[in-house]
This record gives sequence, structure tokens and C-alpha cells, in this order.
Amino acid sequence: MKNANIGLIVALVIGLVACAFLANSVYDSKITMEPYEGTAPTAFYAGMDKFLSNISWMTLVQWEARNTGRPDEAQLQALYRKLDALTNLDPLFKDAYLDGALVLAPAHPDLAHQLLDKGMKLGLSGEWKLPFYAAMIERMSSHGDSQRAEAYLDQARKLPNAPAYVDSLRIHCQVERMTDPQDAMDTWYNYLIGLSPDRSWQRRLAIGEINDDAQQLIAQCNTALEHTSDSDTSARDAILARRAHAEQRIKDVQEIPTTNPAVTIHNAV
Amino acid sequence: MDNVLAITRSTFTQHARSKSLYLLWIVLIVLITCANRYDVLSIGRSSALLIDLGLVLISLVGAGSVLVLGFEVPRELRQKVAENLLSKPVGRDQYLTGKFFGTVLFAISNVLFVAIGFCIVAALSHDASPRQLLLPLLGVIGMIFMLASAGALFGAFMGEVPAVVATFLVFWLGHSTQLIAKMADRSGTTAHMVLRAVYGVLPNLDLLNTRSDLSQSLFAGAPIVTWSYAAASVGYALLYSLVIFIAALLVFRQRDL
Repeated sequence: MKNANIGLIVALVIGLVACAFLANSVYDSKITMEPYEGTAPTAFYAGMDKFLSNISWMTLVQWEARNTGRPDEAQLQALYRKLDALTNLDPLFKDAYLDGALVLAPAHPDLAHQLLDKGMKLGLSGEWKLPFYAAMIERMSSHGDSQRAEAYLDQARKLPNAPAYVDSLRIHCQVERMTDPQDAMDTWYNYLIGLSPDRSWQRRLAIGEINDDAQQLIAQCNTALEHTSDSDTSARDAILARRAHAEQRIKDVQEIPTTNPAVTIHNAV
Repeated sequence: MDNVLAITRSTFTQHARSKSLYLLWIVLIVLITCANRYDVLSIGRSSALLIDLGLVLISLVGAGSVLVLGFEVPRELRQKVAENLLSKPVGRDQYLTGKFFGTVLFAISNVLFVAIGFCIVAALSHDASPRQLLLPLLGVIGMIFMLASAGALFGAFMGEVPAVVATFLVFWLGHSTQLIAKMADRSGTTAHMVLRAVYGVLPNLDLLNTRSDLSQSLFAGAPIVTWSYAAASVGYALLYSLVIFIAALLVFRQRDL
């Protein structure tokens, strides 16, 4: 009897050690497979987190429906706490991040950003809408930072399924900070030559912007020439070079078709 | 072996003959079906709700059915029913093994009953295919084995209520042990090793929880859980159950009846 017990105790110890190794190996493979599991906060709901997130969502919808009209400060703080708790239960709840950020954005862009940043950190880093919303909130906010918005848009444009307008919006953000129309014009030109032929809307937009900036630059140069003496040849040459550059850009874009030639031919047929 | 089979059979039939139990399972399937009606209230998330509710109920049915073991062994010991059995040529190991397998069989049959109903509902509502639902079901079966062994261990030395409570706590807290692994990953080398060892020794039911992962892959575009992962996690569950059941046998052998 004692021998049998010793045998069982040995089996127990060996089994426990084997379990410890196996559990850690299975955990590591789970974290590799589902990285959000490693970053999401641990909830004590017996594995029912995902189900409870749905219940929490429905409760939140009802709560929001009851509080119609402009939400006050207390309601916005309560909303953020509810959304935070909800996204702890389900870190991949995209609608909660996006809808919540939209509601919070007008009064609390900081909280909206916190929420969207949380989503990106906890597993939705491949979802273009989160950085796009973050960029839009940054742009719309009174204390918005154009550089930060551009960084979000740069992040969004590289993600799968990001529409073409994300990239053109990024160029807008970039150009907004430029004081020299030549820099703006060249930025749009570089964007234009990188566009694929099927992006006809973006091509038209870029050409329009280049023309506007070129006209502005030519007007600036003409004014500058009037105020520069003939004796200052180096300054006049620089201004003339800038004007020539703008004129060349206008010529360049006139040669670029705005639509995909293949599509035009197909439509004509 | 015949004695083990006889106890397994009697344990299973004793619990499975209750007709009200099946009525309860049918009510659960109706409840899962009703989740489809919450489309407006959840703003288009009724499919996710249906799948999540179904999977949660399946796990609760499995866990609830296993709690029987933690209750039954101490009750039979208290009522001297076990003594009668053990006075016959039935060893303590055979008694506990029979009870264990009878309970596991009972829990699996209950889970399968609800799971089949759930699969039909999910297939009819086009929310998930039965093949996809098989993966979390494997995890629930692994969980049943782990909880049954924990129930056998607690039932071997505790009273009815404490044994059930302890088994339930294993179910509740066992799904959150990854917290220790996360702490380990944030710690230095020594603390990492110690915490990972502690994590490995605890019943890690979260490793078997592929229910959330399935839902995330269906509705949030998360990567799909692989079959090799499911097999590894069930292998872990079976090994852990064996180890804990060995501990239960050791404790039950020492117990004064």
C-alpha cells in the first residue's frame, strides 16, 4: 500500500512539473496567436468577458438613448468610464471605440484620443478607422495639432482597406503647415506622381491643388519682382527661377491625365 | 474494471434520468435562439450576442454538471452510502474513479445536448457553422475534465458545501490565472521564473477558453484559433486532470470513513 502511494506521489510530482511546462508553452502559443490576449487587462468573470461586453454594450446604448441632448460633463465622464470598462471586457470592440470617440470628441477630445489609443494598443492596430478618427478629432479640435493628425493619418493610410482619401488628407495636413507655396506645390506634385492611374479623383484633386499653389507662387513672384531693383540680379534670378518652376509644374500637370486612360477608352467603347 | 464501469453507469443514470434537467436544457436553447431578437437593442450585434451567449451557456452547463461530483462524494460518505459500497469488494480508487467518469460522462452528455441545439440555431441563423463551434466545444470538454478532477479532490476531504464552493472557485478564478503569467512577463528574471512556475501549477482554464477567440475571429477579424492549439490545450487539460485526480486518490486513500 505504501509503495503504491509512493508511486502515485512520484507520478503526481512528475505530472505537475510536466503540466507547468505544458501550460506555459500553451500560454505562449496563445499569446503569439492572439496578441491582444497578452495586452488586455485580465477580468475575473469566468471567461464570460466577451458575452458580458455585449450586455454592457446594450446597457450603454440604452443609457445613451435616455440621455438625449447635449451631454454634460458628468455624463461624458460616466460615458468614458463605461466605455473603458466595456473595452476591458472586449478589447476588440471596434464600435465601442469609434462611436464612443465620436460622442466624446466635441467636449473631450483628450478622452476620445485615450479611447482610440487604447483600441490601437489593445489589438486593433490593423484597423484603419481608429487612427483615422483620431486624426479627424485632432484636426477638428480647437487645440488640434496638425503634425499629430498627420502622424495618425500616416498610420491609417498604411493599414489594409484604408481608402485613398486618407492619404490625400494626410497631404492636406502636411501642406497646411507649409508657409511657402512652392513647398506645398512640390508636395502635391510628389503625391500626384506616386498615384496609381485608377485614382482619378485624387489625381484631379492634386492637379487642382498644384495649379492653385503654382498660380499663388507666380503671383507672389510677380509682386516680388516689382519690389526688387534691377541691380539686385541674384535676388531677381532666384525669383525668376521660382516662377519658372511654378510655370513648369503647371505644364507638367497638364500632360498628366486625370483619369485612367484604360477606363476612359473602355467607357468610350 | 467492472466495478468502475458499474459505478460510472450508476452515477450517470442516477443524474441523467431527471426529466426536468432536459427541460432546462431546452429552455437554454430557446434562450440562445431569442438572442437573435436583440438586433435593434444591440445595434446590429445580435449575431455576436447569439454566439457569445450560446458558448457561455455551454460552459456553464458543463461547469454546473461537474459540481455534482464535489457534492456527491461527501454526501454519500455522510449518508454512509459509500461505506456500503466500499464494504463490498470495491476499492476506494475504483469508487472515486467510477464517480469521476460517471460525472464527466453526465457533464459531457449535457454539454452535447445543449451544443447540438446551439449548433442548429447558429446554422439556421447563418452566424457560424457547426464545424467552427467544434473548437470551443473541445475546450469546454477539457474544462469539464479539469473541474471534475478538482471536484474529486475537494470531495475527497471536504464537506458537501465547501467542496462545491471550492470547485466553483476553481471554475471562476481558473479563467483568470493568466494574470500571473502577465505579471511574470513584466517582471525580472527570477520573479519571471517563479511566477511562471506558479502559473503552470494552477488550473489554467483560460487556456481552454477558445469561446471568446472564436467570437473574435467571427466578428472582429481576429486570427482564427488553430486546431493544433486546441489539441495542445486539451492535452494540457487531460494531463492536469490526471495529476489532480492522482492527488484526489491519494487523499481519499488516507481518509477515515
